[in-house]
Amino acid sequence: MSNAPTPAAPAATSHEPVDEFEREPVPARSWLGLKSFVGQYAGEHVAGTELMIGPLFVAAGVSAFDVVFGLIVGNALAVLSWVFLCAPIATRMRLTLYYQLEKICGRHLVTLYNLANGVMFCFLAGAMVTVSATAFGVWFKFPMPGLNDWLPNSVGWVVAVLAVGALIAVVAAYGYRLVARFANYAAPWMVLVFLAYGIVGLRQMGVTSLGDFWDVAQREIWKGGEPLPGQVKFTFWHVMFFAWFCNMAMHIGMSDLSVFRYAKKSWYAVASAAGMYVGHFMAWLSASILYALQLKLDPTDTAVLPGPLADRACGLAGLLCVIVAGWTTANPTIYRAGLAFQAIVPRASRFKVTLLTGMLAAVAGAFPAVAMKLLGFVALYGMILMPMGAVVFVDFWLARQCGFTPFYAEASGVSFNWAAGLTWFVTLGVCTALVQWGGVEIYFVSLPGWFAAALLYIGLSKLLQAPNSAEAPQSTYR
Amino acid sequence: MNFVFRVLSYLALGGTVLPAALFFGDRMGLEAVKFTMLVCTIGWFVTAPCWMERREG
Repeated sequence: MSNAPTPAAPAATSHEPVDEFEREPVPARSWLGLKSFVGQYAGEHVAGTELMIGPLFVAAGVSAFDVVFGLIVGNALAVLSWVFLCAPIATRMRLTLYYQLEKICGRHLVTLYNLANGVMFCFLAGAMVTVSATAFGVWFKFPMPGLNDWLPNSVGWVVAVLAVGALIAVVAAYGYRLVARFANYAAPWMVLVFLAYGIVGLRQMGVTSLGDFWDVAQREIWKGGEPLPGQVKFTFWHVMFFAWFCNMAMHIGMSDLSVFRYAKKSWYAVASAAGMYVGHFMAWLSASILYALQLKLDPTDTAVLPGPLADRACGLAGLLCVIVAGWTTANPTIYRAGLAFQAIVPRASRFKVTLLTGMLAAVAGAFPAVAMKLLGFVALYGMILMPMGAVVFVDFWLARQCGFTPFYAEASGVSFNWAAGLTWFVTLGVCTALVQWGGVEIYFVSLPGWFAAALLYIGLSKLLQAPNSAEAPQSTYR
Repeated sequence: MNFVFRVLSYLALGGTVLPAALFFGDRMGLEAVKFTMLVCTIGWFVTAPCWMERREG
């Protein structure tokens, strides 16, 4: 997973330009080269949540072929989505998603989008707090939640999560930029510690040479077969779609318009491959090797707890990585969720809103349901924000050809573009119904959902836009 | 001085992953791996800000 920016958020890490050009195109003097994006993506996609996702693949009974090749293909599709869907619009418009959506959807609908984004970020930050708190369980020996626990199972766990969450919230409210700087120092170290997890784990699983790897991988690590009780069985297609869509909000959902508006060329989006193949390949596989080792040592110990997993492989340095990975990614996530909420209540102080958001994330983190069901939650997150990506795509490329006005809210002065709003609500309603009652798994629903949203937006725009009611503002369009 | 910090930090960074590789080749015990990784972690966080800070300037 990533801590990539929410559209309303001006800043992420110190890699990203801060508080600039929020309501104007990025000028040529501020465009950045390929290297800036490689570093940013490689750092952002090694997060605390990778330590949950890898083990959950093993718990889902995935086979070695399915996980390795599913990740290779799925990550490639994610990179292609950044390159061909998101970046071409970003480098032509050079606007934040927030501002572009405001032009299309109107201020009130964007506020609603921000609310949805903020709530999802809160839960995601909660999962990161959960990850960090598991490291403290190793030291203080309190009972920690199991794989199928939805509720906190000990006072010690609740106290640890709330303490970690409160600390992260206070730091996010007071010293966001300090932690962002610390995150930059930590990024290369974290990548190597994740690599060390994998190497140590492989040796402990019995791999003695590279030639042994595939045999041990198939027999001992990703064995396939039935998933653990309470988990969904993962096949090649599950892994592929999960890897493709776990950052759906950022590429197909267009959040990263805010990032690539700084790119000199749209193909610089290939830099996302650094994040995908370091974070969503190496880190996930490393974390899953540690979990397979735990199951090998004690098949009844199915708890997915990054703290004990990391401690077994790399000791205190491994535990520090768990804390740092959770902390440095929860920090900007809470900050961004706070900004999203603050956009709804502009008069509230940023400090108070961020603090409150952080505490909300801490409370969410105390409930292990989000972290233990992270695969499903991440898919849900992408599904919720995906329709707006389709709206942006269609509005940019197809509006004129289809005979309706692009940037309709700006052109007509409406504060709620019902064509975009209904596209969002109807797509979500249909996708939810398909998942709940139609037998479609949540990992697969977003692809047809995107096409449905695109068609809906075209149809509804032609239906709801008054003929000749508005001309697209030429100065801002392409 | 900047150069010295940079070299030390890269050595520390290498020392974070090298013990794992030595463990894989049966050249180092697990406890030694854990200890070396911790020392190198401290080394990285002490030295890296000294030159990364200036570079970010």
